[in-house]
Amino acid sequence: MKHQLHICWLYPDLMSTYGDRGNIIVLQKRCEWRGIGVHIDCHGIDSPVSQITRADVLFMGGAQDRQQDMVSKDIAGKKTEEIRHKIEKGTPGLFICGAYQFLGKYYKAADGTKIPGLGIFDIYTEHPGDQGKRLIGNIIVKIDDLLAVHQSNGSNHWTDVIAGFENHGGRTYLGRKVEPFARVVKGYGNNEIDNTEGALYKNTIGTYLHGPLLPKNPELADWLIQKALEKKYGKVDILPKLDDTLELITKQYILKKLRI
Amino acid sequence: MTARTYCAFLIGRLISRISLLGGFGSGITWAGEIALRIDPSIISSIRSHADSIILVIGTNGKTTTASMIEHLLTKNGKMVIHNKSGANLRNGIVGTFITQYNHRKFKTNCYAIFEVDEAEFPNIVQQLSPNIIIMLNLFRDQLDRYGEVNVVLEKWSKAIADLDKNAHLIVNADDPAVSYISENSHLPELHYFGLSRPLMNSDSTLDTWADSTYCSDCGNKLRYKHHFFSHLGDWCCTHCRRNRKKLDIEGGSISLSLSGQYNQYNAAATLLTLNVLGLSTKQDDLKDFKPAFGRQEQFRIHNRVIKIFLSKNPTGFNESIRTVLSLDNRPNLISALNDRIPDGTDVSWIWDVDFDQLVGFAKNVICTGDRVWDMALRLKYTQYKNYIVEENLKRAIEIGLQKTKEGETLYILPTYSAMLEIRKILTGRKIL
Repeated sequence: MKHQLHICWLYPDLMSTYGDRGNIIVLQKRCEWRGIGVHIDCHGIDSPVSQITRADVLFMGGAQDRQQDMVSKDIAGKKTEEIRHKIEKGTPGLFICGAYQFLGKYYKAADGTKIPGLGIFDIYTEHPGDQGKRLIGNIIVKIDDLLAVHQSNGSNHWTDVIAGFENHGGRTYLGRKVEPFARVVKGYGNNEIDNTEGALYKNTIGTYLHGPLLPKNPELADWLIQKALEKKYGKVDILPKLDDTLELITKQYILKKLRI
Repeated sequence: MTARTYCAFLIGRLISRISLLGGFGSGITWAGEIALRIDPSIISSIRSHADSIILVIGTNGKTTTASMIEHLLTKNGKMVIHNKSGANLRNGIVGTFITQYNHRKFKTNCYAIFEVDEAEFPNIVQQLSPNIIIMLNLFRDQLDRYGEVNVVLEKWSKAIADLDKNAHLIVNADDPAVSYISENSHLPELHYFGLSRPLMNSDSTLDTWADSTYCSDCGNKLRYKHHFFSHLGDWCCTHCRRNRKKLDIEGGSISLSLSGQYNQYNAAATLLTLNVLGLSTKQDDLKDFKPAFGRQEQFRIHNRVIKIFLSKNPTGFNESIRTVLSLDNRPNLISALNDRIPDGTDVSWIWDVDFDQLVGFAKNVICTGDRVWDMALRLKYTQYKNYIVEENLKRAIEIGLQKTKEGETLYILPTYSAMLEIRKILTGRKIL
């Protein structure tokens, strides 16, 4: 195989809430279907930093508070620095829900305790307290800031609309150093107020679109793969198109359901 | 009963009669709902009319376990009220009491068996003040409704800590998280069931999505001597030395007409409950137990057998597939995925189901249901290529029957609301 990518899946058995592994399956298959070799490092407690160092794509899924606490202890120090370094250098990554919050400065839990984050993204998250409503439901967003994907991808069925499901208690607020990943069309997004969803910094996406985001939104999967190849091999060809008919139908189902 | 409670009881009963006569179904939840509006405290009056109240909680196996207990108690000549249609919220429980309780027949030895919804349990356990609580397991399920698995665990833990000391807890020792609740309950009467050894080709490796594979006390990774499925097994924590409790009863070789490791758990919980109630049991007591609706329920149509395996969350679905493959190495399958309120409106969970198990075995898989395309897409990302997409449930069953030869079995794996619709197509009725 001409090209080979390492995907580092951070804490799969702790940071995985609902169908997160769908994203890994989609990245893997879409590489394999194009003859790109894939190696997945399932990075756990006590796994070596070298797995992060050699990663071409970083992925981390959502988690519950307790699990996040265990991850905090393991990731502190060298691992955090390595992740920061990778993100700063433009390694593409996808951080979902709890993992997205975790990239930020802090997370204020429902009981008011402030849990420090990795401080890589200029964002912070606050839970409105026990009585605060959880933001749950299908969500549609528009990604104008990722239009570069559109061009680099060259696919004719590209839409800038992303469909997913969100389920979070915390409200995230963006600082100046990050861009929103998308604008909310239907749903709640970062905080119900400012219409933003997720955050984009260099080539790393943080988002509340939880679980299997990539199956319904293969353009995003291809964007991550394309960026990873460019980062590793310099200039590479645009990824060959795949038949994404099924993927589009599932996305359209959500659009129709939300009457868009 | 106070005059108000009695009034609520009678009006509730009248509503259920009208509903039955009018052909609107049993009207259990409506009867319960109206009675609760008239007298919200009616739920507490169940306590004074039943000698024993038994509650069954857990993600998977509630309906089957409660039915098994009812089956054995009835065999023992006891009077039983039981929410067998699965109406397991407050109104369903009150409705069951109203429609089934008869003060002439139920003078002595009346047993009330209720399966209770995971989120509803903390709200009603105090008022019911049960004699026995059976904790089967806790897996990720309907997270759009329950929030997080840990949130449910914490609420259970708190509700049980507040209980009367006389309550007995019957606990799945193989589930480290529910076992932890029992350890912290301060209840003196704890009873444990589990499996002796893996029954079938269970994984030796843990699924990455299993929920509770870290110690609930110290947070370290658990080690499994035997792993059965999801996070269930013979576990221990190498750090703080917590381990699986000594079993009071072992499942594994209990005679049953139902297959699957999960039914061995249900059967073990049932036999242990009977023992706690002071009734003797034999290993083959449940041999004549007939499945509850949609739980390995069988139908015979045109010389073909149709078996329905309710599959509503990742653990349940994976175990359904594994059980089907243990029964039939070239099965014909229908997977019916709906996303209505009782199914959970988020279908993300299908990505935690290991469909690659089907490769090389399943003859056909027909995808159907409201979210048929999501299911097809899930299968696209496996090695399994022999899937058919049919949006219409009735036609999907017809195709399934065409593909199934005489004498063969068609296995249908539906989510909850799809299961009810399939029963309607096959029997003309949704539940009972």
